[in-house]
Amino acid sequence: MLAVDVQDLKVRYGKLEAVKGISLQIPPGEVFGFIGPNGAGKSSTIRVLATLQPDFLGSAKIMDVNIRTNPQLVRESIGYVPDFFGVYEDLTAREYLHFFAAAYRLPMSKRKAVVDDVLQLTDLTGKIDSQVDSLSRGMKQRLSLARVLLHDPAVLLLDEPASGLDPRARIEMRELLKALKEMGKTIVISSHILHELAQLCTRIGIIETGRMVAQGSVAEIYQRLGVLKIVHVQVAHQTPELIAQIRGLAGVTQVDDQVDRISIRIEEGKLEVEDLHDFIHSQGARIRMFQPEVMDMETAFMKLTEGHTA
Amino acid sequence: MNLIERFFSLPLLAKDLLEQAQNPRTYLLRVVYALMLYGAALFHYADLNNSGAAAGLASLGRGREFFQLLVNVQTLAILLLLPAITCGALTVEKEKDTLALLLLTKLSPRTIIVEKFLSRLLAMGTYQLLSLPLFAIVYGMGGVELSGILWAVGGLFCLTIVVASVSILCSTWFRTTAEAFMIAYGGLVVLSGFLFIPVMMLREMQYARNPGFQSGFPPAGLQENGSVVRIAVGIQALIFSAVFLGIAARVLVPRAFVPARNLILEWFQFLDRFFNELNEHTTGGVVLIPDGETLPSFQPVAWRETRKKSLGTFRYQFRILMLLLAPLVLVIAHFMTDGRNDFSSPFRGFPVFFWSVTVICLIIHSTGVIASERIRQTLDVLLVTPMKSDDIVLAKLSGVRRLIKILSVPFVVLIGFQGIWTGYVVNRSRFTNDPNFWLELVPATLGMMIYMPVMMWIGFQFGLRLRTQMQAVLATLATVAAICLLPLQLAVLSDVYGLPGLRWIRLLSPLLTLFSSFNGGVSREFQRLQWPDWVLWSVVALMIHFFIYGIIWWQLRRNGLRSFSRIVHRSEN
Repeated sequence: MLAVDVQDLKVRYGKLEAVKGISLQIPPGEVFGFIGPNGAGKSSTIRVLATLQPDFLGSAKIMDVNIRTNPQLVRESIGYVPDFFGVYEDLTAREYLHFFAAAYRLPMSKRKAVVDDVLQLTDLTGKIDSQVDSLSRGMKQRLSLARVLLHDPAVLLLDEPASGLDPRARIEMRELLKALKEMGKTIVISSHILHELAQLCTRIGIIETGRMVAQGSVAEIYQRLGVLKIVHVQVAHQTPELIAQIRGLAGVTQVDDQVDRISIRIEEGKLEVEDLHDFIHSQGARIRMFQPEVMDMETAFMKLTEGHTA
Repeated sequence: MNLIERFFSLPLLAKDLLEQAQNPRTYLLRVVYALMLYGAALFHYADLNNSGAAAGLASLGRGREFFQLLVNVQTLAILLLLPAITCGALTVEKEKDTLALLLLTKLSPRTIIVEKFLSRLLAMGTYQLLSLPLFAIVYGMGGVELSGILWAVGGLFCLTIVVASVSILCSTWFRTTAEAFMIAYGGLVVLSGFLFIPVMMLREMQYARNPGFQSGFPPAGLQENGSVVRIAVGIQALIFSAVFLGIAARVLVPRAFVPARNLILEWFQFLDRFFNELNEHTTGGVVLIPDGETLPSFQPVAWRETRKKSLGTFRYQFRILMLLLAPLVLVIAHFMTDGRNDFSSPFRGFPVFFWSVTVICLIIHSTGVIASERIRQTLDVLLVTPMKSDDIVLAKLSGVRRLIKILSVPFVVLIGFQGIWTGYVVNRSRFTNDPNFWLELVPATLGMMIYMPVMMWIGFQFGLRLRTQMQAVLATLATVAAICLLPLQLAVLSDVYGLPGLRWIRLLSPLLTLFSSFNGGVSREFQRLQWPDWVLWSVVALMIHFFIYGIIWWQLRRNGLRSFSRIVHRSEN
């Protein structure tokens, strides 16, 4: 059974086709990251999954339940955090969570314990009687996450949960999401904080102008892109012969002899970093520093997309 | 940039005028206003022609009535439209966080205020210009002098300046358009009192030596030879306006970043503190009816609507009730204790007062139930819960329904006391057999039961469909006004064009059922019939009227529940 199964999804707003045939299959327990420029169709896709976009073509299922035919049942197995806080500021944190506990029909006898648990998980226990209005942005976002955990949903749909948060709040949010990942939740998350997605997601999908440009694990995407990797090397007693030998190695595209290091560009897939290390060592060089530079998500993103919107 | 260029360079005014020109709503409103203005003029003109003499000639020399109608419509337009146009002038900049950017430019606060003021004045000017051809027709008809027209134009100009400056001040002072709008109307009511007092004083001075002078309203000075009074009022209005604009320029920067406030809630909270302290001092803090559960059980939306909203909470609604009941109780006490009173109906003004308050409270509350969720961006998180759409809608309206119950109490007291008064005091018997009394009592009761939910659903539907609560409030008010007035206008049209079958359409107006004195009430159509036929036909007409409104209620409810999911984009089974 797939946690999320989307086939040929199309969403249209008047003349604008925001999503042009996206397909996704996300097994349970996976953290799927949606990356794309503004207006690419990420939020539209997530809103379809959140039962907030009834006009769509194609098929969309959550935990094998069809969103089109049984949205009510789908709502019981999803937790949705929109790209804004969505909190009632005239309530206290306790009232807010009890409000949604009642909305999700949690039995009265369990509510207090569940509310205490989610507050503890989101580190908001000390703020239980604070007005929501008085909480910081990071706390409000954690309160939103606490809300979606009340009914223990199988799938979490998080639309840019870290947007507008300061670095500390972003780190706290990432740690919280890691904890949820360990709890076995299936998470669909869209974000602009790309390197955080790389650390968190088991799979990512890069979307542009309503189409999925690339989909797979982070490593798969790097491999598919055929991108170059740079390795910075420092050796004792560096000789011009060593440089020439490295240049002649298959898979090496460029070698820059810099003041304090040699920067070697290798083609991903043709030459492994470990093989390069062994080759330099076999030439009798004493390696002081060997530092492969990992291509970040931003580079992959920029390479895959052109900044167009749907 | 030379001095002339600097003087005529009005970037903010140009931007606002461009925005208005690019907004289709500007043209829509203008067309609607033109249709209303010319429609009213056409009705009146047709009515004049139909009143006896040959068409065309009959209207000669009768331009004065037409003129008064035009001035009244223009005055009404200024009072209704101008605050709506102007109150958003600066609050919208605050809501969009663009005021700070404006303040960082070389535009001084005074320039910003003046340019905003001018942009709204010009917008209103386009509405007023629409009536110029009608003024020409009026002048052509005769019966009104050129000086009269000029006085009227001057008066309307002064009124426009005052209303616009009050609205600009409110827009500068408050954070949201809704706050500015409400306070602007309150301010205008207070200001009209300020302007009225010197008018009265001047009138008294002018007519002090005339022993035959009768007091009355409007002041005779304004009707007859009141040039001095008119000029004095005009100058006073312009001075007030200049002061308001000056204050607005002064407070623009300090009030640019004020946080949003819920004025109604703050007012109620102030009263809470006052009454709690009073209770502490008098009873030692005895509470007869505690607030009840503090956390929701199984109706979370209804819990929030009735426990957390300022207009939904019982104690706040109770205060509205007291506000309505207090004057009624005072009048009842007066009539009960003063044996000299034997009026047949001592409470004539109360239904109008009660219905005015009811309309305002119901429209504000019902239009806000979905709009407030949109403003707080909480609608989506509510929609993804497993609650059914019907349940969400009905729970969201639970606070309004309770408000309807509370607002019904003064009507019940009024109707009950009117019954007792008519029976015991006027007719000297336990129950009155006067059919007129029952033809007032029954529609008043049914009206209370049916019109309020109809209004609630109209407000809810507009709140659901329109982008802001302010738009929804104005649309609901316009709809309610149209429901009340359109049947009467159509009936006039049917008279004019000899379509007697359409005359009965006037019976659809709630004004006739609620206020029996208005336009002859429902029974006017049947009074030429013999007893008991006219009573019978009046009862039939009332039954049809309330049956139609019952159907409208049912249809609005059905439509509201069915269309909710579609409008908020919620998937439904």
